[in-house]
Amino acid sequence: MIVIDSLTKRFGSRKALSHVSFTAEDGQVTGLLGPKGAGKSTALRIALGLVRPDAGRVLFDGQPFVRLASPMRTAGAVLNPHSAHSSCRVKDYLLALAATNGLDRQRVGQVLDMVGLQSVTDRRTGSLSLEMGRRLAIAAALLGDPHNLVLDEPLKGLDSAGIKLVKDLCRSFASQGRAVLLSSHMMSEMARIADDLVIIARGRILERTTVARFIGEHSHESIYAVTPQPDQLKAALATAAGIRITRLPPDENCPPDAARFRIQGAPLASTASILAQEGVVLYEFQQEQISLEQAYKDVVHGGRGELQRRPEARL
Amino acid sequence: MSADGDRRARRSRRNIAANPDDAIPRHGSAFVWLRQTPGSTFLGACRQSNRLTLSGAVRAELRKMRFQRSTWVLLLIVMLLQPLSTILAVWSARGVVGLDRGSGCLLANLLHTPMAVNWLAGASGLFPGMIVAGILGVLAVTREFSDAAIESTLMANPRRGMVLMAKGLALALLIWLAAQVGLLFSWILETLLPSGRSGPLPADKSGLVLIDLLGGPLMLALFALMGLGLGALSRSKVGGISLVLGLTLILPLILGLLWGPGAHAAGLQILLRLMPASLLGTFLSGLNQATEAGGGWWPTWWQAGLIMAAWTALCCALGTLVFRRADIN
Repeated sequence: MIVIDSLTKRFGSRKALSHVSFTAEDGQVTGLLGPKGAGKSTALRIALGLVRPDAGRVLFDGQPFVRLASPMRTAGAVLNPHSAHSSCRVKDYLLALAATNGLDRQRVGQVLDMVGLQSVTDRRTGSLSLEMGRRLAIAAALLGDPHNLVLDEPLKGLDSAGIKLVKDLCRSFASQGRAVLLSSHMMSEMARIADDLVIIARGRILERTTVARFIGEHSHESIYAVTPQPDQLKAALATAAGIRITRLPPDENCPPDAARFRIQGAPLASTASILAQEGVVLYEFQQEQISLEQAYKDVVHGGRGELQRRPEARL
Repeated sequence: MSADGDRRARRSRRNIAANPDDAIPRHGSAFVWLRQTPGSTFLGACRQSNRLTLSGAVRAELRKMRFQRSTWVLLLIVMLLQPLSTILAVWSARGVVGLDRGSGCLLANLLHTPMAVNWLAGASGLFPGMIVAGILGVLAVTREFSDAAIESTLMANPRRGMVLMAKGLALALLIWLAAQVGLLFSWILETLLPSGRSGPLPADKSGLVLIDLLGGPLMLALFALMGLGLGALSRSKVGGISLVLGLTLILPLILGLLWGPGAHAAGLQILLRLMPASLLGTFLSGLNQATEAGGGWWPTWWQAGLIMAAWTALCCALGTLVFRRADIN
């Protein structure tokens, strides 16, 4: 279990983290989601003792990382795909890491097999591609068979096989009762891997939820309508219960006499029938569904985003 | 309870399969988690402590240094500097003798050159060696910052003091070995090559060979550690090497330029004698009494060694202080 408790960090005049607290539970994949510069990497670096916090602490199974007797057995981490010693051969790099923590040498061959690097064991780490470098970083993280796994943007630079490897690795870890904490700026990545979700922006936690709950809360549909008769449209739908009509700001792509509306809580077919019966002229009428990516951006930017429209629902 | 015991207990509380083969990912992947296997040999079992240890950290550093080309090149330079300086000293002596073969005047002088001076000429390779050792010390820590390898080092061993100590021990061992081998070659050459010089060591210098032969490599190891401390202080190759060159070459030069007939001349003179390069010279000369060297206060050879150790300790302490507090971004 990884407990992040009230982390605060300032780089000069810029506040990178402000009282960030959350827990990556055992048996769960916890996703730290946020745009670039949100403070994700800083939080992970503080967790791993690479950056000193101004306040707060991070505990791995109840202990700070820097005080662990066997750090590689407690936490494995992938931060930078190019953090291997460039002049070392792949195998020797891992052997050096294993020696530090008194790990079995045989483990090196095992992790190389697991990440699919068994064919490049004698190559210099500096000559590896980004993809291979990331796989090597994963191998290094797995070397100690750790109870906690920390991954910073783990899918960046990976091909489909690599993405599957990471995804399976995270699920496998969680299914064994271990804690996985991974960061990403892509909601779609998180939706595929994570159980719990921590949304961070501008160094603050905006929302703590689960992926399932987040999808449930943000998967509602609405209708987008453009009409030159805004009053008639409002009057036609005024009697229907549970409908919310929001007038959107003017758009230069619409005709000058048109008004834009978002209608929520109304079925597409019956709404269309009512408007047709009332003779309301429509320039545009379509169903739109909020995407997860958009929902996440709305959370991060305070709901200023535009919804994604479904072209097939266009009337 | 051991870490494994803790883990087993935690799993049983959560009713999660302890057998890795049961831990099939939810999405039906064929990914199978591999558990650690026990060490197969006695040595392997001894090394497999599953804990952070200084000996393990030193082994890791030695393995990393083994694959740095710059390490081998610089160690080779340190090793070859002593024999080369000995050969140069012998050739120059033979050359001068050859020039004056007619009169035999210089030959006679050379024959009476004290053995202490001959031996010091042989060990003179340690002077350029001190700069090379210092640079190697800087590189031992700063090259990890240049390729972000410091991240993986600190994630494997987050105790930065131990990391620096392990680097220092590995570095000191390699430098000591290289310098020792070089000095032994130098000593063998000194005895084998007919240099045209002879004469026993004076009674008060009887220990000079031992001081130079055993103490010289240790002094070089101190210079390497000083470089390590300065490297940790600056965390940049250019910065660290500049600090080493500044301390060993430029600062004494500046002090030498300032040393004039002024009121602070005596103080500057003492300060100059406390500079690392000067301390190495004093140590290698086996100076026993200040009167041997001339006016003013001079440290004896063992005092020079101790002051050099203090320089090293200061640089390492400053480097450790900064390295332990530095953010790795």
